[in-house]
Amino acid sequence: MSLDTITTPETAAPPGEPPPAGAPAEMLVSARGLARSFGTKRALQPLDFDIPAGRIVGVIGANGAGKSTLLNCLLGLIPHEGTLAVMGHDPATHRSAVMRDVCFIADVATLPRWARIGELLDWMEGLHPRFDRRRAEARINAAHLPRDRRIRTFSKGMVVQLHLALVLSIDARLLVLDEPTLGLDIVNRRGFYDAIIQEYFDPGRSVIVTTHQVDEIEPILTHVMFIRDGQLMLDASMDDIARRFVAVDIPDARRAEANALRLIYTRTVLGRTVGVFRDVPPERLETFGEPRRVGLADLFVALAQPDGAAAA
Amino acid sequence: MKPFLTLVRRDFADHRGALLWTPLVTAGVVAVLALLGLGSSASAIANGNGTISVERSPGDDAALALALSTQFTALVPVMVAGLVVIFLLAGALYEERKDRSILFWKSLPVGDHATAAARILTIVALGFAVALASALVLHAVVFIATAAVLNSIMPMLDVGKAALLAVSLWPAALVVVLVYVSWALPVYGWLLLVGASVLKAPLAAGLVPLIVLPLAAALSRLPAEPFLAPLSRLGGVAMFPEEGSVDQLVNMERAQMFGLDFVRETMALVVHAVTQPTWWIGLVVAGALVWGAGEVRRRRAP
Repeated sequence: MSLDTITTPETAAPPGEPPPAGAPAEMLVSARGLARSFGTKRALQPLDFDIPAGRIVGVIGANGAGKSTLLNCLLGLIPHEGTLAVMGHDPATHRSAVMRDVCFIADVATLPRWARIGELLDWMEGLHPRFDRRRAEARINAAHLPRDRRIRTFSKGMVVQLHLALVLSIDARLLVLDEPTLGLDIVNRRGFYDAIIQEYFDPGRSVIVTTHQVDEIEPILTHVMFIRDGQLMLDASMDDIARRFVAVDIPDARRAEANALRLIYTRTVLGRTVGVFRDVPPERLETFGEPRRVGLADLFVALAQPDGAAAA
Repeated sequence: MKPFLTLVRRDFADHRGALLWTPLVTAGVVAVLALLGLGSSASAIANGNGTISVERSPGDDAALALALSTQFTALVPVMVAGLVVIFLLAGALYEERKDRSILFWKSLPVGDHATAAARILTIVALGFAVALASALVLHAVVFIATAAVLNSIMPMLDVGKAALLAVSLWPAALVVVLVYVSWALPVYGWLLLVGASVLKAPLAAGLVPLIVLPLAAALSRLPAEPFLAPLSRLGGVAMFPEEGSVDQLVNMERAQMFGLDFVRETMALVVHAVTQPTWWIGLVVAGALVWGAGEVRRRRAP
């Protein structure tokens, strides 16, 4: 599979302000030759990518593909090889400085279970220079979270509400989410991402998110990175993906005709065959049916196929 | 914003049960047992069913004996704190990995070395401080109760003098604890490092080598003394000078215990420590181990 990197110039601006026209994008993350090994296993092949302000990037990959390793490197949780700058600092050696502008939620169960809300607020206020306690308290009050109980007594949904209240009260430039809604019901999952969009994201900030529930985050993503076996298969904007990859229903009688085009993947469901085409003008596909956007899940599976096997 | 102070407050809250309630409960239990014992004895004597054997030491000796014996009883919370500190340090950088809360703490702009330093400072300093405070209150309770009982059967006892001596013993006790901690620091650092490193059973992983290595050395006819040094430090043996001073401090029958000799012996512990190269080396090793614990926390995958 060839590396498929498409980047789109972006502009950046302070939080809450629209980016000035033509202004160069401020790079929040920049990686060159970023790699990581565990013993003899190469978890991340050397990767090159940039994440400027104003993006919501979905990092998509199968289990063990290297998604969490990549995020752990970005967050300075593990050492890395190659050059990596997050907010201008190497996170492996300056994690503390990086975390002034970056916040992350690893999953729903990382808050200290023995603590109470008031204690967490005290510590956040004492440890994070960009934490806004009043904002956090307002959100906690709105969510009707009990202040007198230990977190271990909270439901998963309540823990997420609390964690969100803490994170969204930090004036950070980059938010990293690693399977943040694991184990949550659909209502809480939807509420989680809605809050991220409404209360955090703006053109001066970026979000990086990994999840297996690709369909749920697809509508909010501006960019996507596909990872397989530690390699970056695709780094593209959602607009570029929509332009380059198209899905069309293929009648059985016209299968050979479709194969002659750049058909990279087919899937037959309930007797209907859907084909995914790459870099084919829509007008050429309209003879099969109405071209439509390819879902990220389908696109990932399509690109993850071994070469030559996709449209077999 | 005072991040290090916040870390200390957080760590104290994390171990509130062990650092605060354990010495308080221990002191309470000791106080109840002591009062029950005294009450029972006093009742038996009043009913003519029992006797209390009191060494009829003249004047100051009896007063100091009362002060010392009640203080020894009151030091139980401090001894318990010595054990609690060992348990807590072994888990200090382990439990956060076990419950995955390390991912939350690492999302904050706080360095790993500062975290490790705050953990050992909080556990050791506050652990012994709260225990000493509990012991002080316990001493007052036990002393008053004991003095009241003894005074009824031993009118010549100078309670005022005994109280003054009891109070004067506490600065010495504080110095002894500080000297003990300074000797034990490298072992504390070792436990912190092991807790940051191992996948499970940090207490066993930290203590077993300290016990097995001297045994293995003895069995293989190697000099066991270097391998015994950690246990010697942890057990408080290393803090005492060799020339019989241990006996002078712990033998209740020795006249040197009484009066200013006790202060002199306490100061001897300080002089002994600062004149021993091994004491200074131990402090450096402790610093290196705490730094290493922070480094392991920084480098290992959460």
